[in-house]
Amino acid sequence: MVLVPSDNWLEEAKAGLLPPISVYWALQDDEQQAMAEGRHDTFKHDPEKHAAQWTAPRIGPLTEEEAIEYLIMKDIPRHIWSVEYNRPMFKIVKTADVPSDRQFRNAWRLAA
Amino acid sequence: MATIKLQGNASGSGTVILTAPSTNSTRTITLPDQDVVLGGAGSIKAWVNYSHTSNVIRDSNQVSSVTDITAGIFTVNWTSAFSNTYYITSVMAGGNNSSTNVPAVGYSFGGGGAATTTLLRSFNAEDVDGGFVDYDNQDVMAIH
Repeated sequence: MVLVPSDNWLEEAKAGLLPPISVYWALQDDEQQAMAEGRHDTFKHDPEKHAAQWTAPRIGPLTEEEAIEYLIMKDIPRHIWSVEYNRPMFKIVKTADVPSDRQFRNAWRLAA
Repeated sequence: MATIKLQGNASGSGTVILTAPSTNSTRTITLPDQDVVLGGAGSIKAWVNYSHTSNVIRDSNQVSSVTDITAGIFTVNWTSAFSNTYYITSVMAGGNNSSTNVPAVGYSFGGGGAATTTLLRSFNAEDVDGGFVDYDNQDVMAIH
């Protein structure tokens, strides 16, 4: 797997427009719990938690590296990056270093 | 001279915030001479033009990233979570210079077929043998 960041999102991150990552985690947790309890078909986010994506205080400008780390914690399943394994589970590289050939790109796996 | 009036709503208690974009240019919003409702239900909330062959996001709005899963399969990660999973999506594929790569496009929500408010998993298959294939133009949009 290869995660490709959006340039527009990166600009927002560098400009300091992102909410705390905990805002997204709270939404993910609620949805995961709904899925686990079999009520996902009718699931709807708590309006206050949902609105926090726009109303929570911004965290301030991030460097490019900090922004990528934030993006990983937002868009990659938590079990991949939050647990210590006996081998590296992912690597942050420049775009030019990502293999363009599908055969080699497939060798990059994020899932355990 | 016509005027612009900002008007509160006495029946609500929330605060409406107009946020400037991250730009060094002067931007102008020109309103049409008719009644409009901005950003209401049914508007396009997110979109992305993604090249799966070169693994590059050409342009996007309200998409934080795309995850290249494997040939013909990728995940679009929305910048902001939707309030529920009943948003509408459209996925298009094309741009391959090959007469055999006639795209058949579909999608599933999240992993394992479950809907999520934070991502959309898409897949394509060429119609000749049903195998998954990357397309140079992957256009995805979400309406809610």
